[in-house]
Amino acid sequence: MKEGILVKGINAGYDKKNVLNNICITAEMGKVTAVVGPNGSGKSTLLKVISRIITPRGGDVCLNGESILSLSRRESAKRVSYLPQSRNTSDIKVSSLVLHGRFPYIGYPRRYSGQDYRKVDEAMKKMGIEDKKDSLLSSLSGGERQKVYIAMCLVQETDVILFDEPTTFLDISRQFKVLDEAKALAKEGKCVIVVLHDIIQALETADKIIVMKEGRVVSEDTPDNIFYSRVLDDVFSITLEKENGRYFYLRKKDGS
Amino acid sequence: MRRNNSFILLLGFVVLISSLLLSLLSGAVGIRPSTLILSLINGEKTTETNIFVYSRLPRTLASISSGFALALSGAMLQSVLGNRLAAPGIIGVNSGAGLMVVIAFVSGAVSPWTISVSAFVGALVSSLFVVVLSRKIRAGRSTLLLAGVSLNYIFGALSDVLCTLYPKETAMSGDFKVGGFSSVSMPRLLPAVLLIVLASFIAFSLSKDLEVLSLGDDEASSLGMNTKRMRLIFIVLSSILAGAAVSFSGLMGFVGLLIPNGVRWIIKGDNSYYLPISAVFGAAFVTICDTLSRLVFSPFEVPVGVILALIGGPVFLYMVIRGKR
Repeated sequence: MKEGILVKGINAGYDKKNVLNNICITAEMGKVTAVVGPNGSGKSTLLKVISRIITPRGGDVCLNGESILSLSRRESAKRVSYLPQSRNTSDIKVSSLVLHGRFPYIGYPRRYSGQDYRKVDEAMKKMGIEDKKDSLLSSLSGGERQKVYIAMCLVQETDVILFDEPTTFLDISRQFKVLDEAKALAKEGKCVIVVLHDIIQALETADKIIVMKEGRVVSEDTPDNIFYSRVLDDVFSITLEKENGRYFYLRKKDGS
Repeated sequence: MRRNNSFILLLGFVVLISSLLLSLLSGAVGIRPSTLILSLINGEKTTETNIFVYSRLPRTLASISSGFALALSGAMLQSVLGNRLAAPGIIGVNSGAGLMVVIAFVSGAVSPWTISVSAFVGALVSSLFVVVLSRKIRAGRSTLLLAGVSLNYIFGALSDVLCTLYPKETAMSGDFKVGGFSSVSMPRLLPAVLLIVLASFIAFSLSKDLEVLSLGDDEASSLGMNTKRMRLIFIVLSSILAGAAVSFSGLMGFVGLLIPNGVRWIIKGDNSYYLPISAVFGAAFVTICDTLSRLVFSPFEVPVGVILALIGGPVFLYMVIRGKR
């Protein structure tokens, strides 16, 4: 296996409530790993632990054999970037936001260098948003905003990129574009972990699926093996079908 | 865009210097610059030099410092709390500082340093109360504001009780409540100015951190920031600034609300130099209003807080209506 993220026995939660219970997963470099599960299963919490937003109560997270949790926050931000689920789209200029992706690299007294600005230009060009650099983030469509945030992750130059429900609030064509971006990043060798609500998108996009329920990992395998194991049927109370290589699901009737 | 903001900052300095000269030279007694300079050089003690040294100079320094500090404090609070209405005069920071100043007067601790430190403690307690409450109950924007407004009333009422019970010790409270500089003197001013200079220097050096923090906790944490620690640092800095300003200028409203919002309106999403631009325009605005407070009804003088509200109110209303459109 190519090394990547290894989550070992993580317990985490909010206040006194435990949301994640003894989570152990792996996510390889160069692959898209999708995390699926019903609401409240702990998917987003898992990403927040990996990105150091939440400090776990036990366990460890390693990247290529090195514990991320023992690094300083800045050092771990050079290794893992994170696109949160909900954001306050404040009045900020697109290029200013992307530039903040370089924040982990600047020391006191906090001055961005010419190289930082060049990296911002490159990332915006790559995401096709160079013409939006002086626009306000709030004036952009949902799809364009996602591109801006992905550009921010690109300038952060991390090995691991975490997407927390990146397709929420996007129309279907933009959802596919964002998932294509995730696949392209994996192709460049990055370890991409995506939390997805849509299990069909997860099965068709990811190289590996992690299924979660009530704070535990129920299964972790390739999309095909996950499909044939029927684990998703049990977790989501559906009947998952595959026809001509395409997945679809039916609502499970009571007692079936 | 960076160049635009540099230009706006430069413009702010030009306005500030003009307002400073206007404030130093205007008032009930006009001062001619040439005569003043000659008298100062020759060490003559004329009426003009006395007015300049003992009245105009401390007063101008007070108006610049308080405007600078309150606008900067408001800009930081609004960013940290993610709420454009979270001004020190609205969420109880100023009135917390005011209450502690009244307590200091009542207890006889009237040295300039104890007044400044008391005001800082009052401002800090209020800020921390609002922040901790908003975190604990996951308060929305309006809940946070309502909590701050309640705090404002409570601290205001407690100050009134003390002023009623101890009228002699709190004789200054009339001017203090609306904000004004008529009783300002250099010895009273200097500790507060020192605190303002120190806190402003640290705040400016951390302006990138503030920009990142205002993206939201999750984003800031994922960019390597210890958000709890940074939030606390900014709360302490904004409390030092608001407390120091309140210690000599009283409960001056509107500056911390109007100026940061006005600056955001002008810079339109490019947040480079947001803090210095807010501070400089805050200083210029209060200095201009203070000069007007001396000139408009000359030889009478109205507290600067009244002029601030009379000018700031309509301007803020205009911004709100424009923003709605």
